[in-house]
Amino acid sequence: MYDSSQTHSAVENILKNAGHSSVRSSPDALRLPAGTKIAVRDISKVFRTRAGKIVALEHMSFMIREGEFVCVVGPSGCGKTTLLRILAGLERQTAGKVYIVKGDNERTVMTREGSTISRDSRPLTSIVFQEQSVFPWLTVKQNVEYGLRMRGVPGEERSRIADHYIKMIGLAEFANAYPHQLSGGMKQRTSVARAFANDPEILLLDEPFGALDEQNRVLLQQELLRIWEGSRKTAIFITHSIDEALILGDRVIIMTARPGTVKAIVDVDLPRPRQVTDLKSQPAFLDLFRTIWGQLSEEVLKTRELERSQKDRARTRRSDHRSAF
Amino acid sequence: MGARELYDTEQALKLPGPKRVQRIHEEAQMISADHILVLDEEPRPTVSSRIFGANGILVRVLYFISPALILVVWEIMARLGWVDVRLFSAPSLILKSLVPVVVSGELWMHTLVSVQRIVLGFLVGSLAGVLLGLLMGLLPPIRAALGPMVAATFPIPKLAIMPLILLMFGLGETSKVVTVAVGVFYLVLINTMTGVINIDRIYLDVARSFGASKKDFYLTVALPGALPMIFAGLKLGMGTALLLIVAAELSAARAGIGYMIWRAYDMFDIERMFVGLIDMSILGYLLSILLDILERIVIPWKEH
Ligand SMILES: Nc1ncnc2c1ncn2[C@@H]1O[C@H](COP(=O)(O)OP(=O)(O)O)[C@@H](O)[C@H]1O
Ligand SMILES: [Mg+2]
Repeated sequence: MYDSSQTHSAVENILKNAGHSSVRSSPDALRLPAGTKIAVRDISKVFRTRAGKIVALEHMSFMIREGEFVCVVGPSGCGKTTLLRILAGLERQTAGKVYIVKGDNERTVMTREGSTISRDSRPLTSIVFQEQSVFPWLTVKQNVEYGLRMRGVPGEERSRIADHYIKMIGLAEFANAYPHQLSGGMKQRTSVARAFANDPEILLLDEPFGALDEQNRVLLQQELLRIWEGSRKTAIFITHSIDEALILGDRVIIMTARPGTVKAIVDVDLPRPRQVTDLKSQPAFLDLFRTIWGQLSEEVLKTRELERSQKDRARTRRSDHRSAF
Repeated sequence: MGARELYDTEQALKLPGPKRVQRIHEEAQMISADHILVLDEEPRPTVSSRIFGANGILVRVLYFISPALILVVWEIMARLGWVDVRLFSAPSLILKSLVPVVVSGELWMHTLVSVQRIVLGFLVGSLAGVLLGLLMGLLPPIRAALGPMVAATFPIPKLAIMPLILLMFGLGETSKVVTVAVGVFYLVLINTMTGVINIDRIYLDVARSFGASKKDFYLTVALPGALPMIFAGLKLGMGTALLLIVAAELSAARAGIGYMIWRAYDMFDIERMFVGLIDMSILGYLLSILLDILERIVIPWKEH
């Protein structure tokens, strides 16, 4: 019933570092190509577990421009989530550096005394997690407002912004419902709205539509395209669907099997604004699909082999034990 | 029955939808009945299933009248002399001795005294339990410092430390309140701590990525996340509180339900003892309902 040796590193961590600020050291100045938003330089991530080391990412490098929509595809377990968590400041890479160029966030605010320049409290990143992550103890609306509340946005404005995004995800009728009254897809839509409402400089999305049914997925892709084409916010979108990557992305990063690194980067030069339904029949779309599928299938096969050899090794180890008796 | 007939039935039903009747039906072959599995509609409830079924009238009626039924059987057995009335009393006798204690206000007074001790002890114990539980759940150094002590003292029966409590807090009200508080404290503490430790780590990540401060984290994740477990602890604690109050009122008390029961025992007044027991069970029932109501208000997101 009670075990005093139980530790809970997650709780300890949150008290130690809250987000980017304390995690990152900042260099005095850095030469980066104009328009760079994110520069990932030779990062590796090693997880040390009781079973041994797991190399999740190895020597990964890429750049993302301001206002670019980049999709990431790769075999499952190749380190996509790990990469996103590092970018969100939830995890730290074992080696290498990540540089994120912060926006000015200066805007003119009209006050009674006249206009003044104010530094906005706009957050650097917001993340949509792959798994269920809406707070069960908050209503849909309270969940969507969460980031704004943490930033101290006044209640009225918070409510207005939240209502807007709740309407966008089609949950207006459920604004005051608790998550246990929602389907899995509705919860995932709520967490998408929560990230959007927070108005970050960079959106990080980890297979956000993976659990949705086809109809809702297309609707949300369409909605995401519409919003993004309006705001041109830098976005990194992980998906297991090549279709989805091509529909949404300016570029697609294809990752290798674990240890994950960049295998290829494909430019998606399909014109915008895009229509989800029209895209799939275009010859250029099909060509791109074939290119990415060719690259990706190699890695998926490699992953399978890796898993098989691991199983074999485990089996031989077991039989070794048996022969020792 | 042939295919032709099946086709006709479908038409006769006038199912909605366009062009539902397909040509294929008319050309279909005859299939003998033993090659067809028919999935029938559910049977309509019969008279006997409505009475004797799992959700029948009998079950529902029994649920409400069974206590009365037991009283009746008890009374009959007492009247027939199958049980010793001097030891086991009888419902009619208990009722007879219930009336005067109720009318004189004596029962009410004893109940009030006990309720006061229970509520006070419960509040002190649960408040301390929740606070320390949250601290131990959230801060590993505090958990490491106090954990072994809690683990070592929790298994000691609270009844066994009553003499110690009497020595430390005297014979007055304080010692009774403390006894109840100590019992409640441990259960609430351990539940609260477990509740905090077991909060899904994804919610910590969400709080962190949305820039929650320490205070925000306590109020928007740790506390609400642990609340269901805290309430489980409060309910267990209430049971223990009732148990302990009777024991605490055994010694050095001049009022309370427990005192009343023990006094009746001394004077071999069986009926009065039963009056105290019934009072106790009603009290426990009401307090548990109160906690249920409180839980619904405090944890509106829980499926009830
Ligand atoms: N906290 C962790 N501890 C140990 N291993 C981990 C941890 N997180 C991820 N991994 C391992 O790192 C690899 C990559 O995981 P992940 O980034 O979740 O992959 P993906 O999102 O591409 O499916 C996997 O082999 C996984 O088991
Ligand atoms: Mg993943």
